[in-house]
Amino acid sequence: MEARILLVEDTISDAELIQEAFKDSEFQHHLDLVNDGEEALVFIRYREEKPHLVLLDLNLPKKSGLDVLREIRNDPDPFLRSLPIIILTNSRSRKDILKAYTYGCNAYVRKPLSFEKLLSVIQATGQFWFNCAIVPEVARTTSDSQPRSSDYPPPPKRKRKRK
Amino acid sequence: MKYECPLPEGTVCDYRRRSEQLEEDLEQFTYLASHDLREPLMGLAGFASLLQKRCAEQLDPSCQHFIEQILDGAKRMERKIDDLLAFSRVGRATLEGSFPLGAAVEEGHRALVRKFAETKTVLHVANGLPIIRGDRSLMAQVFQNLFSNSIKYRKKNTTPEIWVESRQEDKDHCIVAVRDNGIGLDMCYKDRIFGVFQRLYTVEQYPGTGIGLAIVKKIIERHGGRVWVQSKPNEGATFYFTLSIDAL
Repeated sequence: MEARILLVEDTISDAELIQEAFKDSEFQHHLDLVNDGEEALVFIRYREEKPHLVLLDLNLPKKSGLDVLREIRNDPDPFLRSLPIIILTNSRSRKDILKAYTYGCNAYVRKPLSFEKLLSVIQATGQFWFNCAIVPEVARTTSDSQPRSSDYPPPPKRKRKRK
Repeated sequence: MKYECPLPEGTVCDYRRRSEQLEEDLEQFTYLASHDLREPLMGLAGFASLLQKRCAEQLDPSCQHFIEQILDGAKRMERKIDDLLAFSRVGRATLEGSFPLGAAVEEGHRALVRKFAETKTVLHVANGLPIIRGDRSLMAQVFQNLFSNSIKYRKKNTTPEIWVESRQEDKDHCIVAVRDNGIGLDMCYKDRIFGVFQRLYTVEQYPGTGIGLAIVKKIIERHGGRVWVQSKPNEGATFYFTLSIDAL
């Protein structure tokens, strides 16, 4: 399976480095890049070929990564709610880490400074998500019968309105 | 938290609110700055190490050295940014509770247990340390930073020793002393050493960013205390600070 990954990153140089790290990594992939939060939501919601995994920056134009994460986790589509999302950010603030996990990210990774470390992050991500784990998207494409919406828990109720 | 001011505008209460606002703004600034300042670093260090990886054969040793220097600078910048973040975090901590000062000393020591062992530093803790009002983990940070400092500025060929003592200042306060037998310092630097990123030596002589004592000062002041140093070159240094005692 070719891994479809969506990278949500507004800093062009960081995106370029991450793309280079993907090129050097050893797994089959297709990488799409979007530069802001709103574009990310449109891509994830309306693209025919859904990504298997999202790498999401926090500090983004138009809509923050945390808001994107929260909206995806509250989406009516159960596949979107279960989409693996990895936060890849500069922030090491306690608040951001706790919020991201509470909103339901699958992992929180701080952007490493050296290319070698970045490469090892990308390789480990590919290794885990595409060699060890089964991504939810596989369930959609391989299931014999179309899943009913009652197979899934309803989206969590939102307690607070988005700012 | 809503706070109704019973006094008319322009009184002490109003000033206090304004100064709280100012402090909040400052912390917000440090917090944002430390995130946004890190952002260009990935590009800087990332591309430098990519160059190192992909073009190693085309680069002569001096070019490789230049790249090392870029990477080294980026790493130092990263540490400073993280330290700045730690510094701004002090201001946001809540200070409710009380704890035995000895527990904070122990926690500070535990964090440096390897350093103590490697340098064979001896720690003497006086009996009868008081119960203190404030945040235990912040106070542990104070001891950790002071111990780390004492170990870093130890004398060659002398077993490093650190003493922790306290005495009552008045009914509600005590003075705590952390003394060492290290290289000491000239008293003309007694204020400078508590500044953010202020150092008396080059990074090559003594590594570090120079935030340790600034954090100590901020934590003590956050607890309503004051901190000062007494020292002479080559005769060790004693750091004093005051804290509020929890009434028994």
